Amino acid sequence: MEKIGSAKKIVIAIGVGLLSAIIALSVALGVIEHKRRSANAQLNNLYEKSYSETMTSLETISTKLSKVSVLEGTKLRQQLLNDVWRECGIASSNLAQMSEGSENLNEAIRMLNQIGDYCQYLGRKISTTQLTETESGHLDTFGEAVSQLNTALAEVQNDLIRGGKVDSSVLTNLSSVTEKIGNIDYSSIDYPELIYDGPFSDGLDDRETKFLNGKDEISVERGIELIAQYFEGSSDIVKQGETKDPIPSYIYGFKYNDREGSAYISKAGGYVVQFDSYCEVTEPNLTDSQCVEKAKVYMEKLGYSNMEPVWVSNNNSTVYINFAYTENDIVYYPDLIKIKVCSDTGHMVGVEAINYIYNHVERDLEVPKSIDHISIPASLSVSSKRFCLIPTEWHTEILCYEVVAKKNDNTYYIYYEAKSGEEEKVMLVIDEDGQLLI
Amino acid sequence: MQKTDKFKGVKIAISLVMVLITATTAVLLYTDILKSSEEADAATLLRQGSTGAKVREMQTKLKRWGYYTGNVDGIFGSRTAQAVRYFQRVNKLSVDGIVGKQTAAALGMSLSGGSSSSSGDVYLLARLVYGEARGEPYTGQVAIAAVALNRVRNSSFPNTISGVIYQPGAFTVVADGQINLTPNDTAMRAAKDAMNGWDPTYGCLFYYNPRTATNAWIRQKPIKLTIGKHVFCA
Repeated sequence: MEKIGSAKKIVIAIGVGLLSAIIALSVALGVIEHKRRSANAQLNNLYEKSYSETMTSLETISTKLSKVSVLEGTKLRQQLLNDVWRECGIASSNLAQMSEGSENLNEAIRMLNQIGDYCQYLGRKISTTQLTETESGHLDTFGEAVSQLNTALAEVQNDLIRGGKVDSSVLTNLSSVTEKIGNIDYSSIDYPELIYDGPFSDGLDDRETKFLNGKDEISVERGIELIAQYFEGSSDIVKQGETKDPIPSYIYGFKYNDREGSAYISKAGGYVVQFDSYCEVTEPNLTDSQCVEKAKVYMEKLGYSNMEPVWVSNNNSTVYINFAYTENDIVYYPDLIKIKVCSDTGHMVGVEAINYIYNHVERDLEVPKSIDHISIPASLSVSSKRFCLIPTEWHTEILCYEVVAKKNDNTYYIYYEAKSGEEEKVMLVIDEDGQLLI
Repeated sequence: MQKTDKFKGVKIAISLVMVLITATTAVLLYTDILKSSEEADAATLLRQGSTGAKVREMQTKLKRWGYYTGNVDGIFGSRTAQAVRYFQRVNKLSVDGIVGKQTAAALGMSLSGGSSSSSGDVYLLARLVYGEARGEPYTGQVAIAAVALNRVRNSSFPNTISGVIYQPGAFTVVADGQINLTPNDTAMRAAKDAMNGWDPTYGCLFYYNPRTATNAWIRQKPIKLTIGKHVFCA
């Protein structure tokens, strides 16, 4: 009897324990499920938001493009084209939030970015010249493409509402429409080549490396010799690989100042295109100007001459120095080379010469004899002035007059188009701390 | 005797079930409800070699209070480190010459914040680099950041750094949360270099690890170059 009694107690105890364990488990599962649901709902809300913002932007784009088609003046059209550019950016980034690698949506994103980019270009263009018939034609095509995209997306939205599926993942439901978007014939839009050498370039590989034209190809062995020469004291130089485009180069790995580094040497001419390593500086003892002096020496050694420092910035004791090609007091900003120097040992830990290699070439510039036509605001206290060549987003170059000036403790770089005296570009030095203007 | 033995078997079985349920509950609670994800700590440390406005602010304070006699130059050199150690000793903080959260608090300054949007981008890029390529050679880390920046410039991708990084399906570390790990100095340097124009990939838009990549589509792309474990394609 006694035994059975205690056994009963044990069974009850076990039962209670089991029950509470199960209750705890179900509560935990319940809480997890609740969290999962609310996270899902929030995610869906975000998709919904991206979705409706895309729709609003697409409508705005269509409207503005059609407005442009009936105008002939400059100011309003410029404003509208700029608006289109901005809305295209908004629409494409919202679409990207929903794309999940969908090829069709990616095509739509690309289309929107290109339309935006093209409109921005036209907006700039009409300040000086009229649009050609083809260009106006492009704008019409864009308008059509955008409204097709709009219709396609609107149909999905309707599906969602009609099917009461708003709570389910917008992503899965979108897939039905991406097919429709895929049916738009993007290839019929003939984007001008000129533009698409630009920042959203798909033809970047085709860019000409002007500096390397006519230079003889070097052998792998010669490259090793050159590394030893460029990076004095380097050891264990091995070829790691090579690349064909856009700049045919050999890639070498080697030891330099006790650290592994790798350098890209152009096959044509054997120039350093890029070298990158780093240093951990704990005892900074060189000033920025001392680092600049060191960098000048490295620059000569690498075979790049007439390079003047134009910008210095100190990032946690690694000093970045930008050099630009300079001739007859004209600074050629497209021909830029960047050097990294450690401010303890003064070692060079980086070279980046891609821009120089693309752009450097003998140029024949017509510099205006006087600068009387350039009016600099009297409120600015000017610290330096000079002629310079600046690169545009479309890889063209503009001869400008550079004015470095201060106003209310802010430093500005203002560029006036050399011939017309029009303001071309203005830059504000955001954080002067650790940055040296030369 | 037989009866007790019988009970014993049942008892053990039931206890095991209980332990199992409790353990499952505990694991669930730990991994999901109580999961304290390794959130990125936006605060950075100031140590010897650091430069910038925060160093300047710290030097100004140390100088005003008589701990520091050198120049307020925004460069954290050995004299600044000495001053910090002195300050830490006097204020009974752990004396390491590094300004972390506690020392900063004692100095009455905040290490995070005040950073411009561009440095926010560098930090985000560094998190991507750390998640995707820690342990890779330095050039390989710069390459990951460069690919993200090449995408920003390409028309098929969003036009901002955060747009590119958070594009669904673009980077695995974003999907599995590794992007939230705190990046190390090397990743920060690599991100900074890529922002400054270094691009070891020569304009590539994709990369993968040929050992682990399962996506057939990406494997069809012609390989432009290999850096460390990753191959890069245009």
